[in-house]
Amino acid sequence: MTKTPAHPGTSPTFADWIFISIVIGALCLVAYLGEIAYEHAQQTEKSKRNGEAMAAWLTEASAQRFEANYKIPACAGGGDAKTSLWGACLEHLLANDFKDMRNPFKGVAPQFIEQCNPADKSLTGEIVLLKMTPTPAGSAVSSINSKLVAEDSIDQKLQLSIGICDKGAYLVKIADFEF
Amino acid sequence: MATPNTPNNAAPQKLIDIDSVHAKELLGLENAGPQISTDQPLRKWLYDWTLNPNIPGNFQKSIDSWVGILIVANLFALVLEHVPALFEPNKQLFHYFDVFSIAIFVMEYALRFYLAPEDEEFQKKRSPRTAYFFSPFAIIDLLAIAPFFLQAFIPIDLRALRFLRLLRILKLFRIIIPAVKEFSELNKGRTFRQKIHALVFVSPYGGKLQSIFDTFIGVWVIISVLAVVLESIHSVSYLINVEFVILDTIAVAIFTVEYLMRIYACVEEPRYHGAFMGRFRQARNTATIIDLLAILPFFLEVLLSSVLDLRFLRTFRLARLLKLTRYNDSTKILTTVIAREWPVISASAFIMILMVIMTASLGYVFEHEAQPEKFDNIPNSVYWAVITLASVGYGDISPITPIGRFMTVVMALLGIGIFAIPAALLASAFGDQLHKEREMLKKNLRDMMKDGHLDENEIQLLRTEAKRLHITIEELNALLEHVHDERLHAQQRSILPLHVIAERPAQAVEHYKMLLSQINQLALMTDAAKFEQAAKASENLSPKEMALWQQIKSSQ
Repeated sequence: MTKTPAHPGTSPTFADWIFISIVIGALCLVAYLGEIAYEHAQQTEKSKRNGEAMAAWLTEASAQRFEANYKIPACAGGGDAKTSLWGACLEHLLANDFKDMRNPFKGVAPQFIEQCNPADKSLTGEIVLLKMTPTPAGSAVSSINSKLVAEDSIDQKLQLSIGICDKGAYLVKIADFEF
Repeated sequence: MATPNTPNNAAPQKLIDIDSVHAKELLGLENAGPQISTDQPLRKWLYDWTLNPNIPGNFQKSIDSWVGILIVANLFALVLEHVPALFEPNKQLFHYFDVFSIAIFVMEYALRFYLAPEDEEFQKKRSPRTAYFFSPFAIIDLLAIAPFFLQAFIPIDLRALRFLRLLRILKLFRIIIPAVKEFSELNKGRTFRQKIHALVFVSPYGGKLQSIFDTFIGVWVIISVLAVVLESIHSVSYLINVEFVILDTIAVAIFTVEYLMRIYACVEEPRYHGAFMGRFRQARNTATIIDLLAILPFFLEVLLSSVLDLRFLRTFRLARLLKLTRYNDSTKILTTVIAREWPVISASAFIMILMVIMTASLGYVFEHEAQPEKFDNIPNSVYWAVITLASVGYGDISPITPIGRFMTVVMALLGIGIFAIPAALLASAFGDQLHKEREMLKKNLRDMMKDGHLDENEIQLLRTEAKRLHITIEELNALLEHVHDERLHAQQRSILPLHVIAERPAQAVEHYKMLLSQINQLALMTDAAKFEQAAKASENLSPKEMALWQQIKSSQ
């Protein structure tokens, strides 16, 4: 039985195969880079979940911590300004409720920082926890943000702002809330 | 360029006689309504209006397009449903959209089922509706709507239901498969590269599939640009950041393949011949540079993210919008205008720079002592000079000395004139270029209409160009009259080529009559004896021709 030869013009040539290979290669590269970008996005999402969990806990605590016999004395409000400090509360949180919290970019417990800095990539995944101090009426800005440090008193209600640093160490704001 | 293969049974091209046509009709503005008789059974009438692909101007194409859009919208809804942050608060909205889509798809299915006996594909079958019911497209249509009704009777897992709803995308095959068939037919016997060329470049071989490809790219351009814009909204990007990353990756994959296809197949274009130089010329082309800019930020940002902070490059993804200029000639005209007027534009730019430097220097000289913090040096005064000369005048920096103010008044007045030059220049050159192209189109039209008729390709070209160059009905009518007069004069001078006359029986008869009449006149006016003597002497007439002459002479 004779075989009809393929039309010389229609079957892919060597150059066509090179083109097809380049296209497949380009698609693989896009998929690979897309996978990297996806991983970064997922890590940022996990960081956001960390920040959200922290914000949810602090918001929930703000409703109860001024009640008598609050179950976590370190975070209770209404006490002595000199002894009721954020440092003790944070220590309690990291030792109990958030002991398993990890910075997804580093695999260690996240740090609380004052601001993200795109020039400093070591800040990726860290949590930005700021204290918002209201400014006098008529000021150009309604509040001044500063880092909530261990020595800050938490005996009174505090306005806090929480965010995280994404893969590029840019700030992703999560929430403003009362603690 | 060779013309594409046409099927042997293709209908002959319809010719339009320019003597009896109005400009509105040529532009497709009049009689655009389909020629559908009302004196026919309702079912046939409905079929002609809604599903008959052979009647131009009916709703068949619109229905196909809108159903296509609805399918794509369904696909997006399905994707968005997977984002709990979007789906949960808008559950009801998603449900209503689903019900609306199903209603449309059911109506479409019912319509096709009812009208199956009128469809050429099924009307010869013993039971057209049964034949339709078991046809592949009808099965796809049924699969698209069945899950919605099934869930009312059988509990279906949500994920399975979503997968089944994904089958709606198969409905697109109703549009794609005929286009692929047409494409294969047009490109029979052509090489792989030629086929790629036909798909990405406008050519007679592209057919409907090329339009679908262009639409596909256009849709992705719009989607990816919308994504970039929405990404800048914190509340949106916070919720669907990962989805944006996936979307961008898909868009880049599509645009990368398109870019490679264009670079590979461009050598099929006459102006890009040459395996290396042709492709290099194509790569330098503005549209191709835009294509590259559309994908480059993705590669650079991910590849160099650990070394450089290239997040600002994300904004350049908006350059994808420029990809749409490929389908719009206005940018091409503007580029031509700038290239043409470049010497004048550069001269006026030079004067502008001169004025800015002079104003900044004078500002520094007169104001430095009075306002050293604002006019601290000449480079810093340039900002004030540009804002003043361009008549923007923010007012954050202003002269306070009398001489400084006087100088500012003079320079600002001069600035109004000088800074307006490039704008005026571009505007007039743009108008001029348009005028030139319109004149060129008119000339081409005159050439096309010289033979007295326009074929379908010529009409299509006329419509596209008339739309692009804003040719009005009045202008086209004037042109038609002009060509008509020209042809009339040509007829009177008998300069029409004989083969053109021969093509038109009515004109051929007229021409024959005119020739006979001229011979008769000649026979009457000439001296018969001298005529015959001269004919014999020069042996210029054959015996047959001589016999015919004598016959005419004797009949008088």
